[in-house]
Amino acid sequence: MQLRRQLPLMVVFVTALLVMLFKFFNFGETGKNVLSQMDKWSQVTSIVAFLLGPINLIRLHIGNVAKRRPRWIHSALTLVVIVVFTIVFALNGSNGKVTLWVVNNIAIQISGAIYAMLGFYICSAAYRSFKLKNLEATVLLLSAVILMLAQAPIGEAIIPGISKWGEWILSVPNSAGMRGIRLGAAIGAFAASIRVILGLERSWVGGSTAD
Amino acid sequence: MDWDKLQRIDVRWIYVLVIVCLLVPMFWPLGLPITISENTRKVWEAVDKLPPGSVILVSHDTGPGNAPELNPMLSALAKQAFEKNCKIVGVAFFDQLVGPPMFQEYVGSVAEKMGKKYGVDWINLGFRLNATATMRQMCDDIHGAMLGVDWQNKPLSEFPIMNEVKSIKDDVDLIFVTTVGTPGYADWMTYVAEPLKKPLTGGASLTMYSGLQQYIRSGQLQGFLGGLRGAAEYEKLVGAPGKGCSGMDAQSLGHMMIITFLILGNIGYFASARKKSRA
Repeated sequence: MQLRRQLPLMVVFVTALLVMLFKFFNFGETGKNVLSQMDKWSQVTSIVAFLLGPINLIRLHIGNVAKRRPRWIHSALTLVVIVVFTIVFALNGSNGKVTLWVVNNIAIQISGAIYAMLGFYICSAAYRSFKLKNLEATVLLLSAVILMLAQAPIGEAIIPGISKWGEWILSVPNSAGMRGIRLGAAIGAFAASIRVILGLERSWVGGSTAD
Repeated sequence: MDWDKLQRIDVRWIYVLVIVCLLVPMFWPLGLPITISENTRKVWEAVDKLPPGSVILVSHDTGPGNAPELNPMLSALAKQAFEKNCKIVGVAFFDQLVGPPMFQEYVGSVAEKMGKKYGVDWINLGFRLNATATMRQMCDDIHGAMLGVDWQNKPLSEFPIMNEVKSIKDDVDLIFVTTVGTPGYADWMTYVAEPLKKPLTGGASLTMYSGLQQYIRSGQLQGFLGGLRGAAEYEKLVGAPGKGCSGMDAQSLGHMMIITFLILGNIGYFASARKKSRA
């Protein structure tokens, strides 16, 4: 049991050490070959890891159907879709005619429709929540209105030159804010990575975090 | 009049009006003029300054929701590139079901009209998992990274274009990325464009557009197209108005409707606040 948790930590530590070694020091062709080989391993590992998703999904929904949990009919439908499309994709190939027909006429249309619904929600959410309650809200609302007008030709027809205002908002205050956010996030990601490499962060192997 | 009712309009009316605003321009186009932004001009220039015969690597990293924004960019790019006799090599890392088929459809239709041949002037290498590892490998060995086959699993050695294009490092002159998230422009910038000093440009969904502005300012991105508006501007620049331009009228009415409701909501909010302060 102990080894089950420690082995992944050791693999991460050794792999990270090797990558850093070959990345930061010049080992000539050998270094390049090792890194290239590691990239290939990473590709293969990803494909294997990708299998875990469907397997977990199928196990979960079989459990829902077998135990007649609430809304089990949705789980049954999911299982039917998974089985049917797996057969279609397996027989026809990932880019075959039938597969592409299914993708273009079912998968893309459904996903597109769900995404398009966001437009309706954004519109009603903006109407209900964008109120001039204080200075910050006023600045936010004015920026939003200028950008909306700048992003559509009608804005230029109503207020000539407004697209330049929009470009300025994106390019100057927005860039400044985004740089701060990005730097903060990068430093945070760096600190989190160090903790994972050193084995201080163990939640991903099911353990508690060590201080 | 009871003005504070304006902040309690039934949302179903808003939904109906959104549909009307999107449908009306389909039957009665407004045809409003489209101005060209600096960022779009930079994208056009990045392609325009390539010598004839250059190779453009296109990564169509989109999902189904954002495809209508980003697909028109591909058509416009293909037109500009093929007019300059540039070659296009396509890959996809974001969505296996959307990237490769959409690339095939949009670049393919332009190629057909312009008499460009698949495998000679352009190719679709399809989708691969683990974007960062594949991108890094593509820097030195595109054939190996794509497992030696195109999107239909045909050997790359069959295609004359792939005899010329072996690695990004030596054979690619410009990288054009459409992007909606991760993997996307940031991975291409970090693992390919920056280390190899290759010019990187492309187009993003409008929701991502604000997050990459700082890289345009720093020169790490050679301009970038922003959403459907960016696609429309690019179409106008290359002289091929298409789905981007036709979507602009709907976008104009949609944005105006949101602004109108913002104004109504705020009138209602202030009327309500005034009523409360009087009571």
